[in-house]
Amino acid sequence: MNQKKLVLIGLIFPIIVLMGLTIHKKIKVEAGTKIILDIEGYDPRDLLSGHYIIFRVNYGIKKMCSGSRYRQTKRDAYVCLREDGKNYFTYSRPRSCLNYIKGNCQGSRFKDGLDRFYIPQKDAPKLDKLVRGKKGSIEVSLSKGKPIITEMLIEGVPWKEYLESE
Amino acid sequence: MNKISRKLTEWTTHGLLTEEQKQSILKYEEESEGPSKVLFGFMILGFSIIGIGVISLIAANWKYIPDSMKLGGNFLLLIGVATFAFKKFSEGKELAYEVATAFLMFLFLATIGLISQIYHTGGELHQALFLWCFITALIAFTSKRSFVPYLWCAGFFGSILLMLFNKSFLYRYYGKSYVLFFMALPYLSVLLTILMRKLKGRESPQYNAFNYWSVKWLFLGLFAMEVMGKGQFKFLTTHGLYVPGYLMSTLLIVIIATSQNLSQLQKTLLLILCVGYLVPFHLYYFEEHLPLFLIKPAVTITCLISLALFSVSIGKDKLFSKLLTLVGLRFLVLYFQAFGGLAYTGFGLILSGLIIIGLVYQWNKHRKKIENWAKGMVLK
Repeated sequence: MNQKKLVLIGLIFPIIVLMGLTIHKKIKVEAGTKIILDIEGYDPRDLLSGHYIIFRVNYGIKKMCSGSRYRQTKRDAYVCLREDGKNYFTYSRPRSCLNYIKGNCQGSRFKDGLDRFYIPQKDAPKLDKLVRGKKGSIEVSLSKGKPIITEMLIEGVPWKEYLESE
Repeated sequence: MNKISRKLTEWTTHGLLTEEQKQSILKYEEESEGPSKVLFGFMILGFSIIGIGVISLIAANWKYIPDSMKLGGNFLLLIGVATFAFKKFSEGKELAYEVATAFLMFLFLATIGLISQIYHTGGELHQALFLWCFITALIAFTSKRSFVPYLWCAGFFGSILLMLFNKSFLYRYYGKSYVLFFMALPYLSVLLTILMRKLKGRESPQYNAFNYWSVKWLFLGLFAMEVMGKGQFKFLTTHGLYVPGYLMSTLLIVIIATSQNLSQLQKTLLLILCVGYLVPFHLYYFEEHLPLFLIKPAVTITCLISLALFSVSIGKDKLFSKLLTLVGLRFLVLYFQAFGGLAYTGFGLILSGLIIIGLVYQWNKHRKKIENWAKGMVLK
């Protein structure tokens, strides 16, 4: 393959991959079911993408990943989200559950990929305080067990609107 | 050019060249001189700063710009710069092409950060870096200048190190005994260097970039083994952690032994280095029976001398000097380890200072002789 073709492929390939990644994420957001989950968290900084809030979703389940505490490897796990709020945790895929989140147990922690929300630096202290005060929740788009965060809510209101109204 | 001109004048004065020959050479050098390195360096610096600025702007969160506009603008910029780069490549304008691709490298990283921010994706920095390495590998491979390949190698090895110290499969296995990972890493780097030499040649920037990192990993591995205590081996979960290092070192030894391009002595030096490097990572098991405080430095010095002699045989005189300096330093450290108590006294300090000055003086006086002797020995 001559040098010119190699250079052309080298320049186009990353753009196609990144566009594909963006379109994939966008489709998942648009096609998924919107669900709201309560969160609790704190605020560090990511070198590449900026300020974000780290949080954990509060599923309202007492025991998750029990029996996995001393395992060295990850173990697939699921949380079924029920409309009556009686969510439950299981190690096998819940067949009769309409909305479920697939994650894995690392030690005794359930990892669902929902652990950060990017925010502007100047709003970080206020939002951090609100999320720590357990007033926060996230809206996710859920599709085949894979959630993508679409919005962060403070007392049920999108965070931008909440801060503007304060 | 000034250096060449001075040398040519000196040679002409000593009758080695005629005036006509000197002028011919100067004319040829002027005509074939490529783009100035200084100009290229400043251009790269300028675009690198712009790239960092772009990343910073993204990291500052553009709260009020819609996500679709951020992404759209970003991809338009990527396409624009890529088109410009390809156009310059087609026109044979190497400097402009290399500057554009250097800028693109930073833009791609910024784009990954932007997508991560807009969709609030989780994940670790090493995953973003690995993705970046994967998508930009071909750009680094086709580059004719050093900046992009060196940058890519830094990203590649940086992501491996980040994996080692963060939540990843590497951490799961090597997290508590990471020194064993440093046993394998130089071999991996050297194998990639050999691959680059086969694909791109010995003068290519890709070969030089991996070669540079191979030497760095060797130093780091030797240093790590000298300073790491038994803690690294006490928590060893499985001896299988040695396997990647064994496999890669075996492959490297086979490549060296069967190479048609190396003399017998060069092969011997490299084999001493390959096998010698493995030794310190097994000494813990014989801790109670062997004087490790002597064996570790002896292995380090042997490895460094082997590499130094091999370097001089392939014309890498600067590396040879650096390695011998390290050998000297290691001897000095050994002296302080052996006579530590004495060194704390005034007499000990005076003696140490005199030894250092004496060694440096002798080294400076006989450096050329030592280099020539080493070259002569290896190139016989």
